[in-house]
Amino acid sequence: MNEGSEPMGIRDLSPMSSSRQVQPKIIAPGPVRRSVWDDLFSYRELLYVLVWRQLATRYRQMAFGVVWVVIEPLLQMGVVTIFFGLLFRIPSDGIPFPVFAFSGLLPWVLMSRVVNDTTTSLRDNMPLLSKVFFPRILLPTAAIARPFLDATITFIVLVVMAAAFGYFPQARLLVAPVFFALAVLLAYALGLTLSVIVVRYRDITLAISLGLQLWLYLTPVLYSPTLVPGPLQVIYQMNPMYLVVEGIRWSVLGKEFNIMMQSAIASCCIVFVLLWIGIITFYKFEQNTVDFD
Amino acid sequence: MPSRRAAIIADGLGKRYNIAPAGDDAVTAPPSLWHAAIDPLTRLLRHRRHAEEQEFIWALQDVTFTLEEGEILGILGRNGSGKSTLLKILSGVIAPTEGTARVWGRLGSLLEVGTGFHPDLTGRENVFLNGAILGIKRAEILSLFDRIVAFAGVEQFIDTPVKHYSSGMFVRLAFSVAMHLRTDILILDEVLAVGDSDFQARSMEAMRAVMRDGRTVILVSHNAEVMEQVCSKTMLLWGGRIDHQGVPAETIAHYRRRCFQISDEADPTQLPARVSLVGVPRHFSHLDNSILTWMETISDDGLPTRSFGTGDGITIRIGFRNHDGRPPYFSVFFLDRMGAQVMALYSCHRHADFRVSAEGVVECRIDSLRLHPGDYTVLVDYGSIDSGSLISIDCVPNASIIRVHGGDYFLPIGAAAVQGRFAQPSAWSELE
Repeated sequence: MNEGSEPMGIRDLSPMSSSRQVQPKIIAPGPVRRSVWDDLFSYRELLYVLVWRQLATRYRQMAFGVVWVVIEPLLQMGVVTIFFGLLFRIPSDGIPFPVFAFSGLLPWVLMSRVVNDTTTSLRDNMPLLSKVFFPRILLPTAAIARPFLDATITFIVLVVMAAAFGYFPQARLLVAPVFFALAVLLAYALGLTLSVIVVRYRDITLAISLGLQLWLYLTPVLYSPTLVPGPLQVIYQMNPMYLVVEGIRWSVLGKEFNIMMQSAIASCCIVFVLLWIGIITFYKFEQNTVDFD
Repeated sequence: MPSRRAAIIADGLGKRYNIAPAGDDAVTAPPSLWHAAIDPLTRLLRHRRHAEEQEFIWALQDVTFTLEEGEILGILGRNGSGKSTLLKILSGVIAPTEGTARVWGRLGSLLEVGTGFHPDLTGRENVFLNGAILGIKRAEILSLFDRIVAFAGVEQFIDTPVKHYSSGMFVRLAFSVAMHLRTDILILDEVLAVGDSDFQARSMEAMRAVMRDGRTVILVSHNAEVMEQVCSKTMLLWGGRIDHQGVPAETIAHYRRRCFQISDEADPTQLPARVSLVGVPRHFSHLDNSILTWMETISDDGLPTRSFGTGDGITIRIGFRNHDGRPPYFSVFFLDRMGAQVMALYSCHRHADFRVSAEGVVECRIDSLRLHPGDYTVLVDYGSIDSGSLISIDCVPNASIIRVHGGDYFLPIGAAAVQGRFAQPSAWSELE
């Protein structure tokens, strides 16, 4: 028998060592079909390390560490209180303006930071991406960690501050994480889409900050939603950040939760549709990311 | 003998890069939304077919090979021949434009040392971070930790942030983590000659050990000797295509023939002797290197030229800026057409305390150029001297090419054959 050694080598694929998979990994043109859960789960150890890198570097670079995290939103609150509360006397639904502004700024800052950090996550890690392979979705996912931890610390300050103004914690405070989660999901969804765009077109970061600015004024962060005329309310309330901001005020300050059911459902749907679009877009374009380096 | 199984089967791999048409400044300018918006318009305005012809290059084309378990494949090729593109495709960093590859088993790649190191984290933390990025399990790193640190020789500083490390310590630690990567298939780029000579020897020994323990390895190197010693098969990439596949001795011989037939490049002596180094590719692209600005080769007559005779005097002038005042060194390397370093000139070899101003020109002169006829690539390097070791800061690998002709250094008898690397006149006489 004349067995060619090369074809034999290719055909004989029986597993011998445990580390060897029977099924080969296929490298081919075009986007790789993979699942988010699979990527995040099977690389969870790397995800933890990336998250830890985010947190460790954040709290070590800064001399003040945690203090700085809290000071920044407090300063911001002070400024808006002076301008919007004292000078312009913007109505705040009978809530003292500092707490009103702080409770709106907190979820807003969380959302916009997550958008910014996830958007730039691929671009900023280009040296890493062009040298080592790992599911790239780990980078935008890990980028959530830092703003999220900042928000958690700030949230404690908010609860203490609310109590100081006479709004003591109630059982509904336990619902607050749901609104945080919604804000993070929304920002993550946008960040996933934007992260693959920003490596191609660097100047889009300007458009993003403009968009966020505009969006801030469409959300009742610094003013009472009652200022918006009645007929517009149904559309106005479809903004998912409306649900988040008013939800936080309801759970922390006991403010009346003024939202139309159809708008609330619509804004939840918007978040999940955006998330779906974000994941699809990310996987469609992430493969070419390094080509633009 | 049991039949061996395939580890990698590559079939017709190719990678195409889109580039802007000649004359368009978009190659250097970062892409912007504005370009994206006007792109369809400009395309319409151009003759379509004509434009398409120039808008892409094939970095890699039609690469087909089979690698069996336990084999060590050496890939030879000059800069830009598609080596790194192939490695990036196999490691999954970029997708091919055409063709497929099947990979059995876990694949780890070392295309660079220190990937993902963070300056604010301590050495210990970076070991875990870098390990995780390379795909080493935490438990595995824990068990290897002491060996990694000992190999790098940084035990005392392991809990110091790496930004306080000397660059030698940094590279040693990074390399040490990488060397402990254990995967079924390992891809090694020419990251390997790092550190001082003692560490280099140890790294080389560690690499040989990795290759001996029966794993499948793909190795990229310019070093033909290493190739011949460790590789079971070799491949030569030339212009993005496989030019030769076979046993090391054959491929290396083929490579040598390829390199010394000067056909695919213009006569370097026709090019200007003074070259700008601004925007030219650098060796360490992650460093912010904007120090070396131009270089020039000058003959004994004081005329700029790229053509020298063996034994002629040569002066090399290098323009620089942004020197930060740390003790500097400058160096000029001459590489033959295979990329082997034939001669290295360092400012610190003869001038222990060489100081320069923040911006200016340095001149290096040799009375007698001891190179045999041939074309030589000139590499220019600038760096600082930190407690006795040289740290490269701005290194231009392909600064210029000079051509050396025989001149009248030797008599023309037997001058055609390759005569070793070094031209040295010698006096001969018969003893009475």
